[in-house]
Amino acid sequence: MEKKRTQLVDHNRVFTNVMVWPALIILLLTSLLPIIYVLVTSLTDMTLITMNRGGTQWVGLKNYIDAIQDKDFLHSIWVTVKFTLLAVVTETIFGTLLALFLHGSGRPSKLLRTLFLFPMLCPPITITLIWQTMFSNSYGILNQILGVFGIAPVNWLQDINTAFYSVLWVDIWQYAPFVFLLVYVALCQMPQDLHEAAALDGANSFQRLRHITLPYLAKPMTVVILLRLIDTFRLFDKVNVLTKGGPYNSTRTITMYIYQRGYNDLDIGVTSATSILMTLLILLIAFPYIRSSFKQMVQRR
Amino acid sequence: MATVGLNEVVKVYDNGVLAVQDFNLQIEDKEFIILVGPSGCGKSTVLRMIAGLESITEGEISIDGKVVNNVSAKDRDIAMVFQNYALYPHMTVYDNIAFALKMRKVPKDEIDNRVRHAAETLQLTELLDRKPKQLSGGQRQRVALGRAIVREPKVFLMDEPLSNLDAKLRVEMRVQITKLYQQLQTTIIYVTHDQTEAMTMGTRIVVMKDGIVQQVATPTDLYNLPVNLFVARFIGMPPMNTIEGRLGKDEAGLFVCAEPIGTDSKEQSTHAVDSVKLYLLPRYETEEVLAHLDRPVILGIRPEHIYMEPEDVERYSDTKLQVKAEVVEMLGAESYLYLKTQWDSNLTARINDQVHDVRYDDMITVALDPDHIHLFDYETEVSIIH
Repeated sequence: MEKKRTQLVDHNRVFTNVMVWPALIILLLTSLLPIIYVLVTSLTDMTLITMNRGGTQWVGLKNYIDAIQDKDFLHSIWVTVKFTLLAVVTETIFGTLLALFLHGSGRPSKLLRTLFLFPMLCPPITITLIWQTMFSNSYGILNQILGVFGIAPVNWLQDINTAFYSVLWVDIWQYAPFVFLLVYVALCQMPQDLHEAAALDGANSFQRLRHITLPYLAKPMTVVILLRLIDTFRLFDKVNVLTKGGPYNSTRTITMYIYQRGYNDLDIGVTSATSILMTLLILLIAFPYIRSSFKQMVQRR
Repeated sequence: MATVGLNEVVKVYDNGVLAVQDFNLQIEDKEFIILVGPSGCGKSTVLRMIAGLESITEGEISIDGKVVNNVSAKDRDIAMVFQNYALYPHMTVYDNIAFALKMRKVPKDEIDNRVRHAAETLQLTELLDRKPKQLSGGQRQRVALGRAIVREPKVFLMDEPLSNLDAKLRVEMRVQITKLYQQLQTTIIYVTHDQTEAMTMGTRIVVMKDGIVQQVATPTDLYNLPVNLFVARFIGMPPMNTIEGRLGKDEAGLFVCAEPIGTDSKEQSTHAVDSVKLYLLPRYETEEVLAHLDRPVILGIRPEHIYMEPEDVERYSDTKLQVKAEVVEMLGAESYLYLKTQWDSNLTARINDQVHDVRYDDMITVALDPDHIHLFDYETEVSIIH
């Protein structure tokens, strides 16, 4: 009996291995190898020109030191951090307010709920192209509306005062619904009797929001905020389509910097080094999230 | 400490469901009222209307003589214990208990005094710094009680507070709530579907069915004088036995001729069952009973009033029956006998002893205690003895 059981376990182990290995091999080929390759190239002076001719030299940490001393790179970090913070804070406030509004409105309308989610469901590139058209200097609807009120057209995406906020707005517009969705789900899962108990305890609706609902939402909101932080930090598509990092680098995020150093300057060594630096920054933000989900995983075991 | 009055209260939900009909009840100060009934009978709805969590469709609810129909829940000064405890998950036990006092802007040191006093009453002092997640079911229940008693409200409402606990803990908490009631000397309205809780805790019991009050009475009266068949069967475990029959009279007095009503009479004769006459005591010969002469009635008898000892059967020979034993359940102090009559209806007898000598399919003779026979109208199921 005992023997049979061990056989069964062994058989299971073989089966698990067979099932896991293909995925593991693909991951190794597509993730781990490139990461190692980038780590290696970040220590060389490789450019697209020297790449296939030989003559690439080891330069040690020179690329990293150069990057940290490069004002343009530091500026791109600043732009990214500013963008991420503003976007995530605004998205969180907007999304949460929308969720509270819809959930508190007695009978939540399915139509409104779907409409709120719409921006999030569209591919980012579609959203970006739509807004590019609306921001357009000559035929965009925003400037047409301004024209109705007799206000001079604004060069939304090329003006140094507005470009950053225009891109920011598109991101908020697309991802506030994501916050809305997760907060709304959390609200729906909140036991109704908590509200009732608080009402009988003498709390008015504002006190209930402040002492019961918001603390209840703290946990799901932390997760949402972390996910948004990580995602926004890697922002690339919107900037690349709308402004290409301009005007005067005012929208040049880290990803944009890396992209331009790679494809315009063909400088692979620097590109690799800055990519590694950005990954480290993201890991720093993601660390609390990774740690808590790892803890949960261990607990579940 | 307050009286609660419900006057012709009606509740119709938005979807048109009539949950409560013409509910009338005057609750005196310091009463322990139990609302009991099967699920969906409207008992929780009544409680939630008193709390102010449901609107009142028609009628009036008053607390201390003041109509509260339009007073919001937070201003009614009522505390409620919920079925799922509804503890605030992010607050410690201390903060959970203190919350209502904080909302009422009670001074800090007084809050502290009252919370610690309530915690002591409920043996929660050790747990004050814990979060609800770290507590067992029974402890959570005690915190929920603490949250209610710390406020010293006018009325306590409890909505099936013990139904999420295991059997042993439920008995303990039942005793604890009864003790608490004796200490606090306040008005409690308690909803349950468990007739044991109803019988053991309440000073008065309201039995409900389909949104309609069936009977309001003390536990003893409810058990001894149920007004209809529903109450008779709902209260008591195992439930009251019923025997269908026809009321008749001969020189020996009134009797119920046991026979299944509503089956074809021809078919019955082919079965050729000796009809059994169960004689009633002379005191049952009232006008109301005599009005049912030659009409179908339902005879009710509680399991503990069926006897099988030879001397009892001898004594009550006017009400004896031949039955077939089907199952014997020995519970230690007492035994349940599941029996089948000649006309194929089921009877349960509860014998205050260990029964060992009865086997499956044995024919035995039992007798009904004539002093404890109930009679109900066959159609209306209303009791015809009082």
